Amino acid sequence: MIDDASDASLLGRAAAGDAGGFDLLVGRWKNRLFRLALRFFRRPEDAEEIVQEVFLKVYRMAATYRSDAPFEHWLLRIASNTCVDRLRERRRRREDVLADITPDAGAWLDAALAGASQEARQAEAARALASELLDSLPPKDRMVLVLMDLEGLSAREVAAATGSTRAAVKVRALRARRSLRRLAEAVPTAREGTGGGRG
Amino acid sequence: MRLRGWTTGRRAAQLLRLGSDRDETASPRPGFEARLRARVESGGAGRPVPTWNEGFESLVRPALALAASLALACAGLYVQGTTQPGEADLASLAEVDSVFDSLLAADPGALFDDPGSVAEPPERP
Repeated sequence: MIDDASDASLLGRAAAGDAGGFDLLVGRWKNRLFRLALRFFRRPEDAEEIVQEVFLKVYRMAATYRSDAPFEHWLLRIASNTCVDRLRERRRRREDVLADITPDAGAWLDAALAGASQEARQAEAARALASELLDSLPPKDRMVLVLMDLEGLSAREVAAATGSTRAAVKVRALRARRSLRRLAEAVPTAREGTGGGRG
Repeated sequence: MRLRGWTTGRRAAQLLRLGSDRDETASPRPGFEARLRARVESGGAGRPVPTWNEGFESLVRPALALAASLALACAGLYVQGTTQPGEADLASLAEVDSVFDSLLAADPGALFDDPGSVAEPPERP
């Protein structure tokens, strides 16, 4: 059965110009990549564009894949680099994001961070604001946080997926969590009102 | 103090979850593969990296690195072998170069003299 072929063999077929092999690979991985991209890019069109870009790179670089490394790591590496590049382009200063927080949005976000239940509109606004705040983190830090804390990857897997070492990933994760805490502290609480961060 | 740290940690984790929230069952819009195929066929992926590139990576690149190292080593040995000790320092230059000597002697007119007519610099102790 052709669909049982390994990712590596499908990639080999794609490298040899077999469109069917490439399509099977795309069908197998598109949802996983799309859901990963949605972690960083809230608009589905943006996430889809990222995934298309990743697969275009996969097609172009198929011949450079070495089968001694798992295909998933190779693919994740391309995906994480693509996401990081795009995040870099749209990164904003934390102070600017905080300065733009309206009193309502700040209160909704504060309530969401406290775990309070909200109306759908308020919850959506809180999610959008949280995403904007995360945009102010260094892209690589954010990538490591998402991969480790939300996608459940180990430091070794993240190292393989980002082209780094396990020690470097651990150090980055430590630094990223510290930045995230500072960011969370800077979100004005309902008691304080809005008007900028504290740290 | 510890409670505040715990609260901050919890808010931070919640901020990450909230800002990275997504539908667990989300998938690209229908026709994703067709759009991708169209981009591939229109050359949007660029030219595929050919397989001979692997040969380049594994053979030619180390060979070039080795050749560069050898060239540097040869250049170093050549310079070491042809340069006499002290040949290029200022004191030696003053001893052997009449123009330099005239400059040191505050006699710039000698610069314009016919090289053949410039007197030999006096002997130095």
